[in-house]
Amino acid sequence: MIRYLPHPVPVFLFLVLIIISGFTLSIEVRFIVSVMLLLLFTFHIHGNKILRTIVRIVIPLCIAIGLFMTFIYPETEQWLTIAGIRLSRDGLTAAGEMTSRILLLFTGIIAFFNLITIQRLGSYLYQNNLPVWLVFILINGLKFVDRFKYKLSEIHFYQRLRGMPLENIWQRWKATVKILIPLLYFMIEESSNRAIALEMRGFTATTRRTTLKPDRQSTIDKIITILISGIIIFILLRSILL
Amino acid sequence: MNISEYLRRNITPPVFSLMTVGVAINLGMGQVVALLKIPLYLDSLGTVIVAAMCGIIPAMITGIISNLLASAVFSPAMMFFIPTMLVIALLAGILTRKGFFLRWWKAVLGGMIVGVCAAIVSAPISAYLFGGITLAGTDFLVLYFRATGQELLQAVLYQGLASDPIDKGITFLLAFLILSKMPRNLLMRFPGYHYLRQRDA
Repeated sequence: MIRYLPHPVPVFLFLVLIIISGFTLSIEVRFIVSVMLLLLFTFHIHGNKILRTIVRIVIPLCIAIGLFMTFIYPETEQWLTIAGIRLSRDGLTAAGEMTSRILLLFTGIIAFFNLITIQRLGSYLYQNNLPVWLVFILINGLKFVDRFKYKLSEIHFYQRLRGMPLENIWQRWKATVKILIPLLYFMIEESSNRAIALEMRGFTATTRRTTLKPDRQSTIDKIITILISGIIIFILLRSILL
Repeated sequence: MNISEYLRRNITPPVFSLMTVGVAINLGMGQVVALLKIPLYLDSLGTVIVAAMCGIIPAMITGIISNLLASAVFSPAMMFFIPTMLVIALLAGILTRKGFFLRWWKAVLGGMIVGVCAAIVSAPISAYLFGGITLAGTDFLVLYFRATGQELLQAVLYQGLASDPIDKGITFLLAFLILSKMPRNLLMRFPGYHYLRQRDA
């Protein structure tokens, strides 16, 4: 099991490399790189989470796009007919092109957000002088979603107790407004309190920031950063010159 | 005034706290829709509310962060639709300043205009990156238009033009209803107050 947790910089460069590769590599290479990445992630500490997300989101999307592009490609002549279903060569090529690109891009994005948590990303960006309010939104955004869901179910429960009808679409539509107004009022109040508390503690001060544990790159991170940067420069130069 | 100066002056604690709420609304509306069984997305409601209450730049930042977090939590596809969210934020901010949140029918009209623009912006992304399939309920419309012999981009654009104005029209109407019923003392904390309650001024 690989326990190495990389620094945000090499992971971000890795994501950039994946995005560039998604638009420059051939279909076969994209599939091979995707499979190699998936195999690599199976041995990582967050491997299960990454693979679960890929199976839940990416595979159904790839299958749907593959089927769609293969069978509904009306402007080209048919290449093969199986049980009355037409297949076209152009359709198959387009299916391969799209599914390989999505598999590679999505694998990169899913890996990025699993290898670097939003909290660590926010902490790194804060240390690098990103405006404090931006870090506040980035980190608290997800926390507020949980609060939003909790408060939503609470308000929904009490509105139901008060006899709010939810039988037809019109009643549900009216209920949406009746639920959202107290919910938003509560959320804005709570968020304002947090923001004022931060302001009182001087979080928006523009003086130089110091941290107890600076998030520095290790030697392995530095080597990976140099390697990925080199590959990105090579791919860009190759695509410009050829 | 440059952008950093603008941000320093205008992103005050009430504004960035509302932006956080806007992100939460964008990400959490899926839960509301599922709970009340409404056949809509409403995934840009937070951006529209922030645009109306705080302006264009805070709404754009809210949209970008919402889609980034959504790609981390829900589907990586959301990251590629950031340009659509930026267009929604820009137009919602402009329409607020033109008084589109003062009457309900104006809000619906504004939403439909935004829906058409959002469909035009998202069609090339959806067509070239996903082949028009995003595993949403509206995919069958793309299938239908494609089966009738339309080009992929045209099919995706027609699907967007058929569904987005309705969704955005309802999103704007919902935003109008929420903002018109918000307590005045709460609205007055935000710079967009004068565009929302002109009658009180």
